[in-house]
Amino acid sequence: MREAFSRTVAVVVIGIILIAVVAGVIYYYTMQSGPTSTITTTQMTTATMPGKIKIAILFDVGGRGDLSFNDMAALGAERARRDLGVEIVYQTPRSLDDMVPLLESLSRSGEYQLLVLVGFLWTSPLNVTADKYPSQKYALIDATTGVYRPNEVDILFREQEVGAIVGILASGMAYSINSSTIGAVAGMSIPPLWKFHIGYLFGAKYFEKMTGKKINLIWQYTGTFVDPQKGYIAAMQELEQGARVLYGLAGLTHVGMFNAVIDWNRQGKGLAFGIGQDASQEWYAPQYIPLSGSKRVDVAVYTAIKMIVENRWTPGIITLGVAEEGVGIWDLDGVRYFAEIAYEEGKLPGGMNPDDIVRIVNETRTKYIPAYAKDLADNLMKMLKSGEIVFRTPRDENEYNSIISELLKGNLNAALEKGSIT
Amino acid sequence: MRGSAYRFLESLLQPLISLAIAIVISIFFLQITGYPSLRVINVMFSTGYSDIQYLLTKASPYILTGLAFSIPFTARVFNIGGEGQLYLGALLALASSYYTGNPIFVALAGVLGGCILALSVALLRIYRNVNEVVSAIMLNWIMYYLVSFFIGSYLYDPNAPYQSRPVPSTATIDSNIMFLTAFMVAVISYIILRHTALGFMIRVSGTSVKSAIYAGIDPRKSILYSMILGGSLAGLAGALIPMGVRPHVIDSTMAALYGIGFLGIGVGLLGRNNPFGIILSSIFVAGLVIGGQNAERITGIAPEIVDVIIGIIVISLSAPMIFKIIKRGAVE
Repeated sequence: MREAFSRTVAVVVIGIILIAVVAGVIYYYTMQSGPTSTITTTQMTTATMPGKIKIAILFDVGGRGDLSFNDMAALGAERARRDLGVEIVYQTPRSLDDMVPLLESLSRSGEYQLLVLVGFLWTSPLNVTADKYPSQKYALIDATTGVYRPNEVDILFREQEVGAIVGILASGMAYSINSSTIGAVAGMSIPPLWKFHIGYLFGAKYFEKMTGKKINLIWQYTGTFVDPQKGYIAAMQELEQGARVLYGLAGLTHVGMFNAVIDWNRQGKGLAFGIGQDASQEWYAPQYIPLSGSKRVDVAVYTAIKMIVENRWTPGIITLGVAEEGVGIWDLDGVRYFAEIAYEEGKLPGGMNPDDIVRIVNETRTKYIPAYAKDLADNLMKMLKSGEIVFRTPRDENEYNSIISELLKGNLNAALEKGSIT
Repeated sequence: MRGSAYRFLESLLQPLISLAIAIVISIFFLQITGYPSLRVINVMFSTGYSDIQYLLTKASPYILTGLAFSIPFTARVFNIGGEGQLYLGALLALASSYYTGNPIFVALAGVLGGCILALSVALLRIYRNVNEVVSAIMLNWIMYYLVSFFIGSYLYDPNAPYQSRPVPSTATIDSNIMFLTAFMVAVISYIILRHTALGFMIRVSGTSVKSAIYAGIDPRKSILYSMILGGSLAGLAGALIPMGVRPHVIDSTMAALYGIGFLGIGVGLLGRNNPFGIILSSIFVAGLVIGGQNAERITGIAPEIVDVIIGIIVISLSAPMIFKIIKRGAVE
């Protein structure tokens, strides 16, 4: 027993010494050849510079690598690091219950001029923390606490604007493939989705009014953002009811919608198209997804950081629309950017490369988006940019329903807070 | 005399050597992946243990899931289902909290949830000889999707549909009480295991099935009771999370629950299946998790790499226990 023990100890000690020597040698050589990663270099150089503005980006629990929300937030922060010269650090909470302690300890340290909170999950932790640290500034992205605080800014998007533009383009695309019905697969009936619905219906009715071509819209809530199966079923139903252009507004659920559109085309049932939202999603099936609406989380993060750098802090709610480039349609550069990320992750379909994606998307867009629809969309975009028209934001479900029913009657102005369509 | 001194030395040296090996491997790994290795390790260990309140809150569910693994393990049942038992416990606790608003009742609902699930695994093992690892892993996933379905479809907050309605304030508990509960449960588990007939039964049939049968103990009963005890504790952990940790909700991605049951296996092995050891190992692991989050901010390391390092440390520290199990298996 004793012998066995000492033998084991000897082996272990020799093992440790061996590993330590190897590790030491490696450590020595890496030190000699300088820091090994770019991440380390930037961290080191920024840390030593005094007086630099420090910003902490706190991700959603999912963290980076989602090809969407969190990655776009990081994109905006990296742009701020480059253009505004601020120091950026990132942190991903492991779970919901880490959010409050994390927020508390960062607020208490006072080390960061701004804490950027990415995503709705931060809403309740922020409500717990914000009042206790009045000198700590917070920016909540794509959500609102509903409380006005001098140290908090909530950055939201005017989803109606992108919905309206997509509505016009979708209607035009439907007519170019001999259909007069467009559809949408939506997630849950919640305020941001109400705004998308109002915008999308507005766009369809605007198209109808300006061209005299009748448009029928099928809107369907699936009740979930995470169930592709439900998205597939909802999309198939809409396709069978004659809708040929479907707008996906349900996160993972509308990936199922994309699959339904792909199957519909491959089964030879005729042409149908899908439209993505938030990030550029054309790469998923470029022949059948010619468009994606954008919701620029990166712009929101950048805007928040800029407020600190330029020293014009405006607490409360800020909304980003077409004018601020917070929403819109992804251009081909955007399509390429996301196709490249997807390419690196090995997610592009059937041996395509980013060039193929951009080429196919461009061809499909030229072929199926008629010029008159594009002109209408550009025109509406101009009106939104100049502030000639501004959309109404429904405060509750009743107001949302009444706006929708007025829109269905053809009363476009019911959706507007300012300006009118004549 | 010499024997006990030797034992003491062994129990002291073993974790220290393991930790040293773990850190050396981690440094090696960090160097390969190109991160500032010493700084990462330094940040993990120095910032993880500074906020005592946070540390103990974080450790509380680990204590319970650690016990949920260890108690059945003492009877030689491998309860890998702590994860699913935790989910069902959280679900029943949430649902019952809206009707009763009484913390005791809500905690009991959680216990019931974990208990039901563990019981079904144990009964399958006893009467149908279904391997408990296989059935528990399958049940884990069933529970995962069941709970996320219920949160997304029935229990969601109309104002914030990505999460459940919060537990009513009358049913919430202070996070200190949460730790105290977990601590007391560990003490009671120790008493049950070491000083009662039930504990003796579990320990004997875990040590040797043949001796147990010879002594008139039915090993199937040990399996049944130890699983019921373990499952109940995992269920309790599931109930305590929405009750004791702000915000008092479970979100639809279940980030508040995911992985706590699995981590319990590491915590249990690390604590050498001793309830007091488990309290210590829970706090140790909780500190690593907290420090790991800060390491991302301070050193720029990816959170996934942090998880790898935590994995290396937990495996190295529980390796002697794993060896013991393998050796015991070979002797049988």
